[in-house]
Amino acid sequence: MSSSARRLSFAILFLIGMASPLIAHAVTLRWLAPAVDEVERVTSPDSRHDVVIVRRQPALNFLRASTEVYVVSHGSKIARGDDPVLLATKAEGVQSAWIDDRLLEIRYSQARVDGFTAIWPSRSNRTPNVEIRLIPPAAGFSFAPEDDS
Amino acid sequence: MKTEPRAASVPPPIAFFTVFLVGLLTAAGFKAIRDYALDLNQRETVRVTSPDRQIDAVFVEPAFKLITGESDLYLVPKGEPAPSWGAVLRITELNEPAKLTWTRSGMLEFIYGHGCVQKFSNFWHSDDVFEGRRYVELRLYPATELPCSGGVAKPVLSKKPTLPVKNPINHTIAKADTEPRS
Repeated sequence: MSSSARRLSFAILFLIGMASPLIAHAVTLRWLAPAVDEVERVTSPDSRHDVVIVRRQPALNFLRASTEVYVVSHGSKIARGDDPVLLATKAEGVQSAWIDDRLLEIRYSQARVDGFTAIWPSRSNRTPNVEIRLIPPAAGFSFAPEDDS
Repeated sequence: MKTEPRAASVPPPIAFFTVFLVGLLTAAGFKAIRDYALDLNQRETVRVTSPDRQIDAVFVEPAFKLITGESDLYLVPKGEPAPSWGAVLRITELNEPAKLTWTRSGMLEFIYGHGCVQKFSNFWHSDDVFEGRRYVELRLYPATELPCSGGVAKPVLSKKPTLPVKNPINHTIAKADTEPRS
């Protein structure tokens, strides 16, 4: 192996090493893609956006099913890179309602919220198009302690 | 004297593996340096202890907003400093002090006027508190209808369907979950 080829292979391996967490994540998403079931789609009053509630059942049975809520342009499908505005496990009674063109309410009777962002789009520096409010149950707690054992 | 041409030497597999590992460690190092910078840059502004005096809710803001403009909320065992990772809430553009209220031992409310919630998780748990048997639920209470864009300054507290339940403060989630749910 020539010296330049060796340097090149080392450089490539170094970069692969740096990117390996991202690669592992992408591989997991690609080959262990969960089954996705669209549960509900509600269009905003101005017909510009849809809120879509989906339920994901992972390919591996021991992984938890999750409920995810997305905001998309009216009629659009959820794209691969889209981030949910709500990601919850052990969720029951998840419902969404547009209060007006820019305000979305998400209610649930029970949910362990792993990720929620109150603005959409979340990655833009502009004023958000939609703001989202979480409405947990009025009485009691929203989730049970770990009971998987 | 005639010399044989040198055979092209291929590095041993361990060399390739080592280079791969160095790459992986470099990525981890970048993350550690970033966390350390965030840790140095954060300034504790509010600390509220739970009614059972076991858990602190710690709200931190960036000392220099040029590095990051995000304010974070952490839950930690009482007296411990806020870490630089594992925030239960990340909020930007907060222009007035937020209010943290323990309504009971396992329930914490975050009340804010203007701010953009970037990341929120409604639960926290630590193996170091009550031998891992304590869970905390967090709730967000924006005081205005559009707290991020500030378009409408209508207070929503009046129409909020989930007013905090003022139960006795020494009430754990484990105990609460034995109650029948509707």
